[in-house]
Amino acid sequence: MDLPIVNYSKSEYIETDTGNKVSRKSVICGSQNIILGGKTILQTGSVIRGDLRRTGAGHAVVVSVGRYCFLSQGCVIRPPCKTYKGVFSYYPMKIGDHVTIGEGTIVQAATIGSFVKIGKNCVIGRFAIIKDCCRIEDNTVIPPNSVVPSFSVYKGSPGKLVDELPESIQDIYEAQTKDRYSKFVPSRD
Amino acid sequence: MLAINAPPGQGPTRQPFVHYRCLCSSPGPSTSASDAHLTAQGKGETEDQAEAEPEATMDIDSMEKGKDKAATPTPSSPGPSSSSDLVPLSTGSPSSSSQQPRQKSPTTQAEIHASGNNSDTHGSQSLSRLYFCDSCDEVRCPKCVQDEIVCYYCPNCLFDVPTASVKSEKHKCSRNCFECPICQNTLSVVSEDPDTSLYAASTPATGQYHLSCNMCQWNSQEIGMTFDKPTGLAVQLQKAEDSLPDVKEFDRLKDHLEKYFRVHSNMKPGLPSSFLTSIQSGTLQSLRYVSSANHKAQQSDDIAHYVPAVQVMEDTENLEKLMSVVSLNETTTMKQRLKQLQNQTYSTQRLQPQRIHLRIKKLRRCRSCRHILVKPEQKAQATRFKINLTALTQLPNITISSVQPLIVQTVSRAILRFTNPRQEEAHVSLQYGDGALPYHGVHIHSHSFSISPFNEVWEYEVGTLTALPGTAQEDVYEKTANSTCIALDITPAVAGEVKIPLLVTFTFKAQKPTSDTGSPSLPSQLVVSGASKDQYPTPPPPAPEYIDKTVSFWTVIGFGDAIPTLAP
Repeated sequence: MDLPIVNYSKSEYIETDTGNKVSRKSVICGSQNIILGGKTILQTGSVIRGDLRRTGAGHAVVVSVGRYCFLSQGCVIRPPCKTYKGVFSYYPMKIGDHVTIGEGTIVQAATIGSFVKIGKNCVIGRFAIIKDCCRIEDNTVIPPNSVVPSFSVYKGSPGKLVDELPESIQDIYEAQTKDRYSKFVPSRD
Repeated sequence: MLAINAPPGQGPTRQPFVHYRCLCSSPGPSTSASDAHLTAQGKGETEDQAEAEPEATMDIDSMEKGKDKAATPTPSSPGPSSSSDLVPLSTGSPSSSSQQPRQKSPTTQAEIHASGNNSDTHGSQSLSRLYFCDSCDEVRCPKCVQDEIVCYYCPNCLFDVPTASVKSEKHKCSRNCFECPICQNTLSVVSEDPDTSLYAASTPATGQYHLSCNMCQWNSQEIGMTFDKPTGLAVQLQKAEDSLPDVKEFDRLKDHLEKYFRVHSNMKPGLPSSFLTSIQSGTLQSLRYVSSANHKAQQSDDIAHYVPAVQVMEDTENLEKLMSVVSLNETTTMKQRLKQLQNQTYSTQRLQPQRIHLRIKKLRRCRSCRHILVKPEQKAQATRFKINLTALTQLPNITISSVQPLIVQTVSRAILRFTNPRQEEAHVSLQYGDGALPYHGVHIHSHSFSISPFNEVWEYEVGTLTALPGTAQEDVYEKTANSTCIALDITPAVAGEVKIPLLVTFTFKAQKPTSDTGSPSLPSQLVVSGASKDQYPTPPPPAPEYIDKTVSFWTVIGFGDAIPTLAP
């Protein structure tokens, strides 16, 4: 089925020069440490914690999100943390292009590649690495420090490989995210 | 695989879907009269099957039955439509390399028409899982392509493992990657002193190291496994692994049989050691089975009787142990036992962390013409493809744009969208299959229409997309960028899921092949990708010469459930 056109109220969303659409009802902490690549949608109630940064002075990128990403309602993006040599610190997180993060999902990954779809109510553990072209099914727990290789479908708690994605998945996810962005339009009134 | 790839129409919620049918799933085209008889029989069987199973109650099990049944007649028909997954590589290659390239008679319209004219979703797949061989001009599904291994890599550390060392490493990662014996999650190496490195993978802190699971908190100290260095753990454990009884027994059996295989050089070369290595992680019981089976089969060739060096523990001991179990938490689960094949212990205390199994990248070939359909890059971490002939980039992508609620004996309107992925304009004609069961009334408003070519410029123009000016006005519902929408009027005959077979004939312009006979010995890159053709000097300078190609294939389109007639 074709995606339906989603209308949002113009007063709720801010559109940036690069086409990012950010809900005023989302929680963006430390916005100077966050990079949005463009044409990325942050829905109501999504949280990005850019304030959790590495100890020490100076400006640092904490969360970088690519193009055509979609952060659903109530998802939480939190940079990963650990104690290394007795010092507790947060570490930067990078999210690629064409990434969809489902409702209520908590992400503390180190890296998420491009063309990734994460379902609803997932937990992506600290320093997890999700490579390009992956799908994480709903209600999956990816444990800390684990790696999800390309073209895999992970499911369960702990998340395990359940299927492989076809070679054309990159085109499919790209078309889906672009389609969704073009259909996310302000309502007329 | 079946459960995962099951068509969404079979589940409790009938979502609309569009499935494409590969010819291999149906009895398929045949080349001679006798084959035609065979395949006709096969077809009869499958149709009977479809009739016997009421559409509404068709579940996964019956699908599986249908699959088995449909698969049985295929090996007997020596056509290009062999659908068996188990056909080894060696059987396919000599026929196509030693003989003349098989002159595959082009599949006629009538054969295609007969092949998939039913609304059975079995054997059909969504477009994303299919390939399109541009030398056979046919849809290929994962069952009728041949896989070859491009490279091995560890799914955890993502390092490439050279093919030469894969066998000696027993198809497992030989670096630092272990999986938890309890929950099968990956283990991390941690230092003895938890304060210094709570989540660090490797620290220069002194002291001992052990493996720890981040999921279930299992710790290798529980079984007394510690390491002096945080690197090369597999090497440190190598000694213990080599002294396992199953490894010893295997080496002994290999020595025993290789002597024999070496003498009988008429055996297929390369088979013995590779075959034996592939069962390396088998149980002692399976080794015994191999030895006895070989023994029986080759009795006339006087192979010496093999006496196993290791005796398997009797089951009575296990039984006694299990009788005294108080808490079930002390015994291992089936999954845990199967991960540790060498002893399949019942005691959780004896579970060992296992090295992580390697994964592979696959190259896919067309089974009938041996052309490469998908060729990934050699590097494990790369996600690009050197050759990518997936159906999605070559055939029109059909999606259901909208569908009105379906009510029995009432006309509802559905809109189908056809998207052209090609750079050239394409033409599509449609035909509703009369073999559908149950037969719903379907009226297609535009049987024949064209789709504008895909143009990358449109990618950058977000907003309203309209067709190029000047294109002839056709009787279609809507025409935008590279897609055309057409309307269908559906009158469901009975309540339940509405699935209709649709024969799609797709005509597009393709570059004319350099030679009509297209020998398969040609480098496939040359034939497959038109761009690289320019690099090779051919007698006439290759001016892009286009010919019209026509491809027909069946689709099954599910529109969801029809509800019974509303109360008058």
